[in-house]
Amino acid sequence: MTWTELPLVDGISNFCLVGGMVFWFWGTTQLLTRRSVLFKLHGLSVSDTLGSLAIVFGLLLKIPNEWPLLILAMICLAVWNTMLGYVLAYCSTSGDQP
Amino acid sequence: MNELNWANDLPIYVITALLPLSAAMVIFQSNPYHALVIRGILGALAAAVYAVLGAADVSLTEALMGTLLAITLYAIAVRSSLVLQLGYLEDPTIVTPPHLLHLDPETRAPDLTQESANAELDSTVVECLANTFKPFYLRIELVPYPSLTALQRALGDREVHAIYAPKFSLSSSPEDSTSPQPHSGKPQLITRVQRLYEIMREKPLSDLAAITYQSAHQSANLLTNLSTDSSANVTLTQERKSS
Amino acid sequence: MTNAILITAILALLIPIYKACTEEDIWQKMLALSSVSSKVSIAILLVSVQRDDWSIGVVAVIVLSVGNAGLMLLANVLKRMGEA
Repeated sequence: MTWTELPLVDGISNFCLVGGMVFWFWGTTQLLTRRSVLFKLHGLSVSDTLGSLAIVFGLLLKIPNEWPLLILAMICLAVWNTMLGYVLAYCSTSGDQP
Repeated sequence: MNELNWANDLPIYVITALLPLSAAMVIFQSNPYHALVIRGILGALAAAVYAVLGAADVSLTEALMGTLLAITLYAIAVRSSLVLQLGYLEDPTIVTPPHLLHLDPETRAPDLTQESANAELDSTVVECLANTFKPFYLRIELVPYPSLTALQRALGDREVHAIYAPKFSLSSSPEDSTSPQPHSGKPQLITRVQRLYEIMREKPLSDLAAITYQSAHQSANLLTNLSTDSSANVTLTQERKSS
Repeated sequence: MTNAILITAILALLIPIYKACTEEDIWQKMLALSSVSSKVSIAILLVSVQRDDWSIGVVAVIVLSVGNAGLMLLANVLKRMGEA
């Protein structure tokens, strides 16, 4: 019996997966409201990044033999999604609609 | 066993069903920029379908070429092709060449004042043009020219799609004097593209300026009439022969 | 468990797709596109972990970073469009 089959680790992993899903739905439903772009961008980038990180972390606990890939995915998410949020905010405020 | 397989394969079916859905969304977008954004969604979903069906290499190619490269290239292509280039006079005070003034000696003084007023490309005309072409997703790009002759030559050489010129320049030419001119005081918008002429003839823009259609060949003719300089005439006819 | 999460992820994917279809403002569309892009790559990652397939996982990570980079490029081009 390896450590990934312990009930505690399995519970944490499931919790992370479900929590990430909840984060996703919370951020995506903000897209349906009639708020400004920047407000939606804030909610969406936070929920997408955190939710995806939680999901990938849950997968990492479940199946640890793909750890290099999953950690790479986590780093990519954390860096590039944040960067994309800044770039989108910068572009959407200074430019007009074509 | 069979039911278990069906439950396992359900995500594959759903993702595959999303692909034609997003493709239909691309087709029904009329704004090219919006279509580009939807094309990004289509590319992401296509990469997902290929990956889920087990073709990692196809999926990678779709993500790199089909989505990243195609969207960037199309964005640049749409940006550079959907544009109306409008030539105008940089300095409206030098708009009247001296040899043209002699053609119309009586109305010379009032014409001069009126002309320097309305030859200037003001923001209302540009705004009206932009509004007229907004449903067609055309941008307006302003190209300044130093003199009337250069403006006419630019239209004749197909450098610009339309020019914004004072009224004076055309009515004084012998060709146009035969035809009646209803919009006497207005500046002129001359285009060499038939479709642009049909669009610009609509109401709000035609109140601000007289819209004229003129093929590139015609405007080259006009230019030879306009310029009294014989050397310019020679070079122009040579150009026309060579083209 | 992974299958249920995958189905939920696809359901979450439907919301920004619908929003991108109906929205008229270009930046709201871009927002929906960024959401779709990251969700799709996480869904591919889920599939790769489910099947224990390395090559699909590599594709997922590349789609994740390339999708973000492409969005940044597109956003800058669109911004220039608004200025001109």
